[in-house]
Amino acid sequence: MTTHKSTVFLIDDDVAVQHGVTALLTAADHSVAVFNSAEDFLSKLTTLDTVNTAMLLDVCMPGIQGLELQEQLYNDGVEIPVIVMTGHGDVPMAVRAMQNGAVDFLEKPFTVEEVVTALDRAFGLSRPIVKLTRSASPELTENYESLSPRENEVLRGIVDGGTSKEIARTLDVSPRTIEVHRHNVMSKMNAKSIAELVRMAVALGVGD
Amino acid sequence: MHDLDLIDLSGPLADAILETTESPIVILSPDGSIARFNKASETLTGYSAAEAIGRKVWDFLIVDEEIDAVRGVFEQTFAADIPTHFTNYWKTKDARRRHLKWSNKTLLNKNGDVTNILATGIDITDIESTERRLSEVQFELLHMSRLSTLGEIATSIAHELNQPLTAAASLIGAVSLTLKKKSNGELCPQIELLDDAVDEIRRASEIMHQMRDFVRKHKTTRTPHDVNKIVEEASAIALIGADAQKIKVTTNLGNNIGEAPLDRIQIQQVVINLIRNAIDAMKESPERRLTISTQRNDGMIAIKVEDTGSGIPEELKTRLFEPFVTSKDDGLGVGLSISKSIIDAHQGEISATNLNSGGCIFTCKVPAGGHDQLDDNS
Ligand SMILES: Nc1ncnc2c1ncn2[C@@H]1O[C@H](COP(=O)(O)OP(=O)(O)OP(=O)(O)O)[C@@H](O)[C@H]1O
Ligand SMILES: [Mg+2]
Repeated sequence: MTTHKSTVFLIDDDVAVQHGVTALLTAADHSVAVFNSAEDFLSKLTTLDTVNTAMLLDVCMPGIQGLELQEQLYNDGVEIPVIVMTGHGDVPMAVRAMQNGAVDFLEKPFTVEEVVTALDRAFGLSRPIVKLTRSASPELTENYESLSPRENEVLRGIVDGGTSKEIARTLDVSPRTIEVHRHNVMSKMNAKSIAELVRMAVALGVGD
Repeated sequence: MHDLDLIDLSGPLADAILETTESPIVILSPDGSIARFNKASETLTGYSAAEAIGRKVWDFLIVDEEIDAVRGVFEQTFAADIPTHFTNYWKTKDARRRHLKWSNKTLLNKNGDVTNILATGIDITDIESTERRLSEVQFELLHMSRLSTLGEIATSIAHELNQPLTAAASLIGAVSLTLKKKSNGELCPQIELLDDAVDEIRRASEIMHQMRDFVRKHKTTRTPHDVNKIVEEASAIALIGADAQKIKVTTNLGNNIGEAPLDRIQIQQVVINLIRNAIDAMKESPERRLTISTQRNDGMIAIKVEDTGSGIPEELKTRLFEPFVTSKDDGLGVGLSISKSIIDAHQGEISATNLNSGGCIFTCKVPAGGHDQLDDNS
């Protein structure tokens, strides 16, 4: 048991999303503080206790964008682990957020398991904001090196945010083939989700 | 009454008219046999006058399915002394079909008896196919511009709709989690139902985003196209009504422009957008000159649209190609942003420059090339 109950800062401009996600997080035993925008959060930041907190941040909002907020927090030395929420299939945005130090990303709409896993990870981190640079473990590097040249290209394609169809078009093969490659990449890299794969890719410096 | 002796079908005047006109003219006897078959008729059908004279039209010129109809018109024309108009198909000596529009006139002798029918034709085969082509192109373009707008709409709908879906999935998740805790690890069918509901919500979200991607990244198929031809077709459409606005159009298509791998409809959309903008810009100009040109340089083909209009407003210059930038009351401000994304997709460049003389010039450049880089259509 921690002395502080874990608190999640939820930043999203949509009232219905605020309501739903708050209910979900409450059921998962987190307390929740809701903010309508990045500006809203920043204006209250000095009054907040940031110990044992994490942030669920929508990266697609009017006003200050999620990425800029991350940048500001980082520069101010505010160490809140950030999980970004993106629209479905907006992997490029997720990749940028993770390069910016986000610990994970969730594609809306998400399941209980996804959000719980992501939060557990965020709260479990000793150093929450580490800008993901090349910090690959030997094991990760080894997995990466086991990829065939084609699989490597497919990994790059995924990190660049391509759907199978788009990757297929750039590599001039059928989308079905890409699905197979994608599957192989995930298993060779030992990645359970695209988010994890992206995290690995960023650590490996793929696509820099 | 007019002097019927003037109609001398083999006189020098008739000869001069019949043999110089580009219209096929035939003179028929009451029994349907050909009495005269002019030069244009020979050129059109491939039959010489010698081959045609004396034979009945429906025995060799009329396409099978129209023989009865033609005979009907023929009899009607003899019965009533009035010009009759109709269209029919002729088959040529080498078995091609030509579509002809006829004006018929009965010729009478001094006693008022019908002696012959004079049939003057216009070959409308090519005109028709051009018209059909034009309306096809117009239709495709309309569809294309709808698709672009649809792409914008689909993107914002996808975003807007995803928020309530996220809210719903989270609410259900909250209930499912609470039930899970209460059931203390015991099997609870309600939880499964709730989880199924969340799966369905996710499916809805995925379908929606696939739709968005489908409309937005509307498949471009790039195949080698004659750039001059594309520009000509697009100009024809964009310039409908330009005469009425007293715009002097100069088309200056370079020789040996050649081909480029293009999505024809998309590039035509660009040319049309540029020409329409130019026309709009010249509304207040005393001098309205529009110049459409093509050039080839260093492996790039340039399409240029120049006008003598108002020039690009200073305050729009830096945002010209962004969506929803417009100075027009009735403008959406999407024309140039769509054009830019199309040209970008073709690995090309689009730029605009104001001219000292007033007006401005838009230039699109695309890489030239023959049969290469075809898209993988799935
Ligand atoms: N040839 C031109 N001369 C002067 N200004 C131009 C010209 N072409 C474009 N512009 C300026 O750029 C703006 C944006 O053009 P764009 O084609 O994107 O949108 P629009 O013509 O206003 O609306 P629409 O969506 O109907 O095309 C125009 O409103 C006009 O101010
Ligand atoms: Mg326009």
